[in-house]
Amino acid sequence: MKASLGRFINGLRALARRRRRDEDLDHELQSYLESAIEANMAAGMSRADATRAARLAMGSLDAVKTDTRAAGWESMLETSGQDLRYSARLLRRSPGFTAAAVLTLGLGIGGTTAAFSVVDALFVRGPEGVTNPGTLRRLYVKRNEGTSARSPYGISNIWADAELIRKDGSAFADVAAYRVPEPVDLGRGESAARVRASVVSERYFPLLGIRPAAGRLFLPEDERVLGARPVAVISDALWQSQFARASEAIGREILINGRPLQIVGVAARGFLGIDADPVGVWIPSAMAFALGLEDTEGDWRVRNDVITDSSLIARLAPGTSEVAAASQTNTVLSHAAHAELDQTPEVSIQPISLAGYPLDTRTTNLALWTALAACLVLLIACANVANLLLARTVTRRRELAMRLSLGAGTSRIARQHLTESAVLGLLGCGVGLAIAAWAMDMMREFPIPPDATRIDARVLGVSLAITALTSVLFGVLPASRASRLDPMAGLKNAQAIGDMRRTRMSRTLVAIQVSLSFALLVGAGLFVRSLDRIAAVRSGVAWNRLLVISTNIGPDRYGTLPRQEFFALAQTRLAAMPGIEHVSTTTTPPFGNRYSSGPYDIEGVKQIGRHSGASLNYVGPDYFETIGTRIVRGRAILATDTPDAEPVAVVSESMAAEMAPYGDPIGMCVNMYEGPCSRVVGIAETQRDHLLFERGRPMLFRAQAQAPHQISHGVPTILARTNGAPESHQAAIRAALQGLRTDLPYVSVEPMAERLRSTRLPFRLGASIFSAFGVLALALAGVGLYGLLGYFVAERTAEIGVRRALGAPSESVVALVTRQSLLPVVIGVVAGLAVAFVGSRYLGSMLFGVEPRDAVSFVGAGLFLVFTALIATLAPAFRATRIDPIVALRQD
Amino acid sequence: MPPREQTATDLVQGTLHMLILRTLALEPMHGYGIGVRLEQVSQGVFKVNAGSLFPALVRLERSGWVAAEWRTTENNRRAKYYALTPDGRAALKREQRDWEKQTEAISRILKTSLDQLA
Repeated sequence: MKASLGRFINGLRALARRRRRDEDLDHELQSYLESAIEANMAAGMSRADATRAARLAMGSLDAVKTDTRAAGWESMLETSGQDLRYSARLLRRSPGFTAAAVLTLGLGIGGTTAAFSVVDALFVRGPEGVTNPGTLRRLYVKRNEGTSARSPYGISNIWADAELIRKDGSAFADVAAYRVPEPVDLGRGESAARVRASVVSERYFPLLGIRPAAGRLFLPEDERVLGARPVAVISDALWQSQFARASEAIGREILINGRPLQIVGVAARGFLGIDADPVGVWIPSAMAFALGLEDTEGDWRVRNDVITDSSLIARLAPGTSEVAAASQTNTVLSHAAHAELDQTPEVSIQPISLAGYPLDTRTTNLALWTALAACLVLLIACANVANLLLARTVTRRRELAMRLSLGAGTSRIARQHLTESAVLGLLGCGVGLAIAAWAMDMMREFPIPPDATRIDARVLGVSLAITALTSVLFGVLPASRASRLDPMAGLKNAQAIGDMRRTRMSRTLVAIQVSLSFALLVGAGLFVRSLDRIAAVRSGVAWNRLLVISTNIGPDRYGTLPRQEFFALAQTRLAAMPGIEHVSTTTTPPFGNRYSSGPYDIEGVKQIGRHSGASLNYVGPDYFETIGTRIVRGRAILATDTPDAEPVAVVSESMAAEMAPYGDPIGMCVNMYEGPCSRVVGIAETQRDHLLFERGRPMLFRAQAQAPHQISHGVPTILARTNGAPESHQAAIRAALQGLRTDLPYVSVEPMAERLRSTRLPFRLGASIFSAFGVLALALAGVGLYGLLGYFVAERTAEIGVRRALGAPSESVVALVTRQSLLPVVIGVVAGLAVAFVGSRYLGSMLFGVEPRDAVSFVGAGLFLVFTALIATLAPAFRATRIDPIVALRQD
Repeated sequence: MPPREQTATDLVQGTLHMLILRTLALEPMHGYGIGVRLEQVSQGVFKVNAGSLFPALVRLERSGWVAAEWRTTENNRRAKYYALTPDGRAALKREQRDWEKQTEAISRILKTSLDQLA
């Protein structure tokens, strides 16, 4: 051990003082020689004879030096250095080849790196700061009502479920519930800000293993009595930005939605919750009601008719399998209550990841497919470069044969080739990182945490690993081929016959490349067409030109401008602003999950069945115009629908369909919750919100002016329709409204498109990723095919010359070349067809309105590839027909 | 990384190291001197040429078994002298013991078979 360490250090020393070491050796050998000469002279030889004898005995001085130098391990490095210099020189000498190879590798490595880092951040690397994320799970409780689920969440209260599961204690070590982070106002007036708050159960922090950075986290007392203990825990980031990490922050009050909460602690540094949106403030569940985050009466945590945007998390007990935990949970939940609702609970358990809410199989699958697509692209890139290298081996045949016959070892030749691959790989890695950085920049559009789109040590490490793997993948084949070259055959020019084995290998590589590209192109086609179909679905809402304006103005502060007047004035001001077409109000903006839903009945109709459930929305005049929902029949809600007029309602087409069996919905009077029944005066197009797959929930729209007092004098959300990009109006609107009242909490002005992003995300992500990879694959395959097919033709120049000389017409030459070159392409397409045919079945769940075996995608991909291949072949084929037979034959 | 073995002509593989160490155990010597001494002591059986001697010396030096130093020879010329280090002495002892054990075993095997043949 000690000796080998010594050898290592001495080797380093020798490397560092290479010049001195070489001089030293020169002197030593000189002195050796002189000693030998002296000895010879002492034995009676003349000086000349003695010198000659000594030289003879010693042999070649250079050989001795080389052998001696090779004795240390550092000589390996030295030869590697030589290889490196040699490779660099070679690559510089053929810039076209180098650029093609480096770019190809860069695209492959860059794509893989970007895909890896996003997949890693979203699905693999757990949320920051959480202890042992491997045993954390998210539970989804779905209640199947009869045959169809009403929504992906069903009607159930996760908070009540969490308590049940936790009390039972047999399925999980711990269970907690929390509300998905929602925006709240921090402070008031000009300096008001928006942060995300998450209402959590007491077990939340202990379950995740979060420690306080200062102060304390929540206690069981904090969540016992509603509104009793106004406390909050803030994130380290908020502590930093608001209090500069001062310890006095603990115990201070902050205003959340206008309500004072006492800061009792700071969560561990780096912990920002476990969802994609970073959390600034955590609030115990008992305070949510007081803060207006949940406006249901009574303790919303135990009512089972409340849909909250909540999530259930649990820690697996050691030794308990997911399956066992799920079935135990199902048992616990079906025993408890809800019997009258005829619901069967169905729990699904999934790992926690930032992409997690609502994590469905579509998103998880997408991650896998992304990774797979990236790997395919990388493989294509490898095949491409391997082929380029193989082709070069042939042009370098003479040089290689020369080196072999001059005594270079085969291992040395192979090593030199691998060095070249490594150099190409590293250059490709550099380009790849730049491409990855650019790609990740593009991905900022998607709601992924910002640190997912950064190149950090982890990403760098992975891309280097990918590079190493890649270099071996594309380098080994040509290297082994080169070192097995027969020097004699190489020195004689055997070019005319062509290396059949190499050709076969190239053809195989082309076929593989084509088949992989085909599979990717089919995937891209399927996703792009899904996205097309989604865009074609009418959401019933002109979401791309809509701004959602809300402020949590409290009932308790009238300040300079009473609340009702504020909203009236706000609407007038907005309507007068340039670029604003329509302004209206609503209690529940679309694409949220905050509808108050419940049963309704029709006046005069006794039995309308179990299906009767609708979401109620109170809207202002001009609502349907503003939001872009068509009135199919009848009229909209108008300004003339005052409190004194007859209460009216508009129903959605989906609700009208439910009512249709009992007559024409228009003219019916509908009862829902309190108050007199409202006369249906119009039918509106169904708003397909939340999930594009839903039929669209039945909706009942009533006039806000005719609503019960707490709603007609409540806090509506203002909707504004712009005539251009809504983003350009955000700042002006905020400033205008914030100026109306000095004590106003934060006024949020949000484009509706923001709310839609998460719904469309899987498709957009899928379409962008597959399209990007598809285009990449196509580009790579195109470049590869062009280069290789061109090469096939070039290799047969002499043969074509002979054929021409013997009188073959140019058409037959073109046909010959094309037929032979296209064969691997056709084989590749057929193989790709098989791969895509099988693979696309698994893609089915992620598609929208497109069959997995969509003929357009398949045929399109096939035509595209064959077309590319044809162009790649025909150009060199025609060039071949113009070859002068004499020149071709004289080539050797 | 262990030094790559190289075939030393007329020498049992791997023994050159031991013989050099043994030679140096008596007194520090320069390269040529080592070669001459080996030839003399073996009564001309082993001729060690420079191509084997110097790589072996580099390996021994790298292992820390010998230390080199430039000195002036009796003929007033500068030469690199090699001397045994304490590590080298220990290594020599080890190798010598192993060698003796092996040769003893080998000769025993050879003798038995010869007796049986006879």
